[in-house]
Amino acid sequence: MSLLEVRDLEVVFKTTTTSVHAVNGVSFELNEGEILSIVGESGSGKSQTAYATMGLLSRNAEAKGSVFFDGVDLMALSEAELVKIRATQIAMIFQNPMTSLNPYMRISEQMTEVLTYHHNLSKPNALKVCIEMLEAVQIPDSKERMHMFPHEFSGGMRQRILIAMSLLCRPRILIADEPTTALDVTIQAQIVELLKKIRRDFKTAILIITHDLGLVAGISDRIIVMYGGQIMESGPIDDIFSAPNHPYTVALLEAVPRLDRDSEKLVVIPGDPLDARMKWEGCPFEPRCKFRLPVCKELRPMIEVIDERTRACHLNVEVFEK
Amino acid sequence: MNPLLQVENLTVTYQVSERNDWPWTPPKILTAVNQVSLEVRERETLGIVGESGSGKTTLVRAIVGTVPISTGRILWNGTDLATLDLETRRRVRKETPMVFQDPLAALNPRMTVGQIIAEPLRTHNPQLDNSEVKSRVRNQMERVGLLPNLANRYPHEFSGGQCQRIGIARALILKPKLVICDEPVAALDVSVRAQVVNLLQDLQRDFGLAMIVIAHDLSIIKHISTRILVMYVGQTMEVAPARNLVTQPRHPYTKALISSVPIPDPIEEQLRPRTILKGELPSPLNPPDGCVFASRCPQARQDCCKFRPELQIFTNDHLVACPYHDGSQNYVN
Repeated sequence: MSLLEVRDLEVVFKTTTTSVHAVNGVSFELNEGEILSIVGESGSGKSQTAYATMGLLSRNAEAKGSVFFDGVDLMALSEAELVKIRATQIAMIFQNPMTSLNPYMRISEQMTEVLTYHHNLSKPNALKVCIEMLEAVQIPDSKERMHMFPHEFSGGMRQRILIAMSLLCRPRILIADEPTTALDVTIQAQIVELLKKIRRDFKTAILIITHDLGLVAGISDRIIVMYGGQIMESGPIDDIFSAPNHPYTVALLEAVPRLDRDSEKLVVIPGDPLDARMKWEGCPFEPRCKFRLPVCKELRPMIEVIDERTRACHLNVEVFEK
Repeated sequence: MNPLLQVENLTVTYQVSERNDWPWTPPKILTAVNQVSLEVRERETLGIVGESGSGKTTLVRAIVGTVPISTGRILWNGTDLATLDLETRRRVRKETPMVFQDPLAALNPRMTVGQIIAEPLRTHNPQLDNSEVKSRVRNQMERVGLLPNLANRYPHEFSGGQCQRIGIARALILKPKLVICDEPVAALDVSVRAQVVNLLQDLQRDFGLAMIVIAHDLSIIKHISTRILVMYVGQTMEVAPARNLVTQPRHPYTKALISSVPIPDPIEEQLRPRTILKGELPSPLNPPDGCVFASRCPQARQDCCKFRPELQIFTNDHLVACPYHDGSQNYVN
């Protein structure tokens, strides 16, 4: 059985005038010690999927479906029980390391909080654990720097501190929402190495939410491609990149210039990302798809499972096998 | 042939006072751009790449004249901009419009798209009558792939990609010779980036434009540029034709930068060697004496910390600011 199992997840936001369907029936699994990436553009529902998993949706959101963690349905738990799980089993790091730390608290206070509160450690013991963890994420002079304020660290350092903080309770799952987007490329490469090391050392399963195909290629075991709140395609990383089976994945891979290749002209995906306020009957990618069939507009494609891969497209797989 | 734009030993400094300073404490000097020289020839694209804090934005701001320069010269078609009076300077400025990073923030929310695109025309060519302005705006909108009947809408009604098209339309309406794009696609979704990149390239070809494009994403820069300038903490590390820079980088920083750029191909990613730089950028408030990159350089030697390396000629068009760039000199320290 997999560690985390999400079944038919739906997230709807109610506003005064309309309702926004952010996630429309998403199902996936995360196995122990695995790095899984969810890739999508803004508005694809990738972040909301993660927030719903953690029970962190905003108040006007309504989630349906089920999220099984170790056999327990998180959606059925009370807030108090969820807090326990969030503190000890599933941790999350966010996109912007500048705003995720409390600017008024020293790093030492922020970090020890979770240990003294949830694990009943004494303050000195908690500090010791924190220093070890900061060393594990390669923060030099961690003993002295513990007592500094967040603004005294650079962006890359702050992201390391947040990663260290999320690992304090040895979570079994780490959810990272755009962990490198706010960072420079050379720092980005450092964080990617760090996440790989964490998986190796702590056997933590990592769920990465990102829009960056390059990041995904360098780190994950499996990938889920989302568009318009639905999963377009998923599977092992090598298979998806070498033989994408869905028009959206194909288009996405063609639209990105590659450093190791010369390209005369980029292949464009026409149109704009879709408006989540509309509820789509058919495939959400249909208006921009160059292979679209008449049926695509009316009927949402079924999820087709082929070996370890899934895809949601009316076109036959054979179309892409050339 | 004279280059269109020539920048010689440009230095831009900011004065920074700390919050706890007394009012009479002299402010610290932050050197954002440190003796950078560059040239842009007609119809070419110069890409400037660097991490945040490398001074790339300050450099182009100094070129368009929104940031005062400390030392150095900026020559436009051979004339020094600093010597010009305000009126002439204004006329030159319309030749170098900018396209900004955040497409929505760059547009006035209280103006319609038509008014936004027409504004440069009304400022610089006040003699034009209304119908002429309108028809030019319509043409321009069509040219960048916007429906002209959207001219009466407001910026918030458009998507990010469309807003960037509006920004490009505004920049090009005066038929400039050089367009400066500061991170033109960084704020856009992956699927829309290609549209804007292609649009910029088409317009450049059709209007015979020169461009300066700033980006932190080396893959985009390589795709769009003729030549690339690599900046690090305010200084030029390497300048070379785009293809040479990526295939035969000489400077250790460029090499590290290239190896940090992820390639969307898992097999390729596993095979290629990676240099992961330790540490972070030095503070421009307190730059090191020698080479600015020495603190993170995997090949640093002792004398790297003593002298600032000058730009050296590797081949005709390829300059490197590293004395050990060819790896042949085996200094033992």
